[in-house]
Amino acid sequence: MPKKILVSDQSKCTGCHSCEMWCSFHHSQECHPAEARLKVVPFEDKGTFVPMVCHHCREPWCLNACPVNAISRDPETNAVVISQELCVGCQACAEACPFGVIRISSKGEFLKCDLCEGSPVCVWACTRGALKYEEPSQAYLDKVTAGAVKRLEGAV
Amino acid sequence: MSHGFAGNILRLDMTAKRATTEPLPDIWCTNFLGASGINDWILWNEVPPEVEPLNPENRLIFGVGPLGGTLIPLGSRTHVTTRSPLTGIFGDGNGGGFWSSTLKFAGFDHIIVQGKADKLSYVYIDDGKVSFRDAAHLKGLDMYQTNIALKKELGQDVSVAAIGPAGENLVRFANVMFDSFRSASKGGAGCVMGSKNLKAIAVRGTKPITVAHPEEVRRIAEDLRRKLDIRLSKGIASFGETGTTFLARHYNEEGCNSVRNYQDVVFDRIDDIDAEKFVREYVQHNISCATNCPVHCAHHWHIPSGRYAGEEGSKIEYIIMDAMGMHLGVGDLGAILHHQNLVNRFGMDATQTGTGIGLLMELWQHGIINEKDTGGLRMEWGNLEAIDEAVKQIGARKGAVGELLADGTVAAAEKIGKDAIKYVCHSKGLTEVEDVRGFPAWALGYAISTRGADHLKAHSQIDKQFKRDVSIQLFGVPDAGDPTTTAYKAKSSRYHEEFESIINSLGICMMHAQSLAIKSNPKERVHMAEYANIFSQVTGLPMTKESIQQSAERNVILEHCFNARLGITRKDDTLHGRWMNEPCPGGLGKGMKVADYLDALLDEYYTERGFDVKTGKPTRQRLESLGLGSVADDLSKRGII
Repeated sequence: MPKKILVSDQSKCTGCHSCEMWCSFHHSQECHPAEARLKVVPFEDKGTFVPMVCHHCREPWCLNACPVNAISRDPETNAVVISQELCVGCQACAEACPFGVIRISSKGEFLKCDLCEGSPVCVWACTRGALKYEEPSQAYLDKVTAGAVKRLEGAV
Repeated sequence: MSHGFAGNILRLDMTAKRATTEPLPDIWCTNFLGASGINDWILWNEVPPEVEPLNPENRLIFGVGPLGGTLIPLGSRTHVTTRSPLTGIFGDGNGGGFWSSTLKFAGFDHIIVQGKADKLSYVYIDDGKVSFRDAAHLKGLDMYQTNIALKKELGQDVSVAAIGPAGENLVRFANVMFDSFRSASKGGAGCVMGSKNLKAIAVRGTKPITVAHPEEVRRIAEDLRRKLDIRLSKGIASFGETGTTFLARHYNEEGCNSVRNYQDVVFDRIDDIDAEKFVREYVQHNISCATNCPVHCAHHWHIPSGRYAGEEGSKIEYIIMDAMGMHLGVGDLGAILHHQNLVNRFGMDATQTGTGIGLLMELWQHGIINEKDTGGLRMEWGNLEAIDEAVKQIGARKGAVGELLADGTVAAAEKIGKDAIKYVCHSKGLTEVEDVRGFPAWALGYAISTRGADHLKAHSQIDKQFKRDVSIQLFGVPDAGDPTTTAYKAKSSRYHEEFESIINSLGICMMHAQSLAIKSNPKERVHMAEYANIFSQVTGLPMTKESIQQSAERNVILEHCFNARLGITRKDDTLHGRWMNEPCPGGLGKGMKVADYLDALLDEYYTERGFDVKTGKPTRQRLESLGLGSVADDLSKRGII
């Protein structure tokens, strides 16, 4: 099975926060964007919105930092996931993550993206294509093509 | 407590600097539906006619509906209600932004502001904890600066409702804006907020909103997203691309733009300002104005050339392209965008600002006023320096033009005298720019609108878009879809007054609602029955097509009662100025004028409403049938009915 990754493109993000809403609803059946597994940071005066997502790193800082092996990689989806049963709540993962995308819920649980069993609901909710779930090679190709188009238009 | 709602009303007493929380009664949720409707009920109960708009005892009421901040992807709006200092009667405005959902995540559906702080203050609501803070450092800051300053102070995740200098200076049509760019402009709520010495309400919210039936809500939300998907529907995609700017050309073809203060209805320089040019040359990318909206009809724009080159901003609505553009003879898109930014920074209603300036320009054209009246400003059509300076003077309430226009366009005409009033088109003191002469449904809608002339209180797209099939679906006949005739227009106005109360009470976007109501595929249309089901599934409270219509009717009639208590009668449900007595100069309705048909339509409308046809007042019988006996008692006691 090809290993897809979650890719964000801030130039396409419109700041609707649908991804956060659908993520939270999918995981808790509540409308609770504050506990979504991803975060869009708004800078509305600049008209820019930056989606911060888990990259499910090849060498995950969080997984390596966890002292009780509560974080593992799902062989099916390639997702780096936290086991709530094994987690002792030491925060090492949240401190280690360079992107800040592991958050602590109001109940004290550590929350991170689990790629929704291989079909991320945030990607479905993003009608402008700012979030994609695709193979790394495709993500690279998309990005280099977008860069080429920009250069062609003289925007770079 | 029901789902969907946060369940609490926050009362802010600015005099005592005291915050209290009151539970939101379930019965209010079913009787008045939410945001706008519950605001109406609070206003009716707490603001008797003795309380003048700028009296500290007037209320400034914010409301977010049961669908705001939920999975239902219909936008998330804030409704702001007060007794208007511009018109002296009922006033409300509605704005987008993230403040609405953030307020619910902080635990509140409504905020009632009363009293007056001893000095300029702001309120910070941090997940239910409320503090009153000094706002000396925010005094005089414009809307954008205020938003940035408060986010720096409190964190990037707060959302800010604020007033600009116009609100502080008690400009009568000052607005409240959310996160810099989204405004609740009608009603003069910013002026009332300024009179209470309240500069801003900043909110941080991290709590969940629950829904009664998660599986069903998810199914409904997925279905609505499909109907609103820019990738699946050409109409939605086009709207998502242009926002409401496409209306400038559309209305030029129909003949309902206001050009040079209602002297024409077709703008000869439309190519210079239309949506296609805006999207091609000015738009950088689309942005979203509210939580969980899949359409993203707003834009971040950048002016590429001309005298305002380099300026940036967010969104422009059709109405500003008219009020600050065509209405003033301006055919320069960069200038219109620049003036929108300026009006936004001061925090005031662009329509009232534009009609005030338009009045002076027409008086200048006829030689009725000159430089002595304007402090030297040459009020010629399209004079950008004059418009720029006029906006600044109004916002600051300074200078000859500022002092003339800051109390509103009607007040300005009265101050000038010399028949100036005949150049003002308004109803009940509120001006609007879209020309309604050839469109009886809209003219009636303006006349009966409880906040004065306005297209969002009984607004129908059925006739403007020639939707005869939707008319058949709703009324059994195609007539409401014919724009220039009077047939079925009273029925349509009654229906849409209630429909719009539902939308504003559920707290969702009117543009989505209009799009979904007139979709080409009848099976995809969303009307009262569908909203009743959405309400039930989200809140867990019973609601049917009949009961949601009845709740909306209750809200509408309450607004009429609030006005009746202030002495409003049939004679006020009319239009003034050119619209009334001068034939429409072009478009589909060429030659039509409102005086020819309004009286007959009012007769029909009052009959539909169950009001007294002679006086236009609500009747006891009608009020009692809606469970509003206490309202009837109050009106009887005061000798109104």
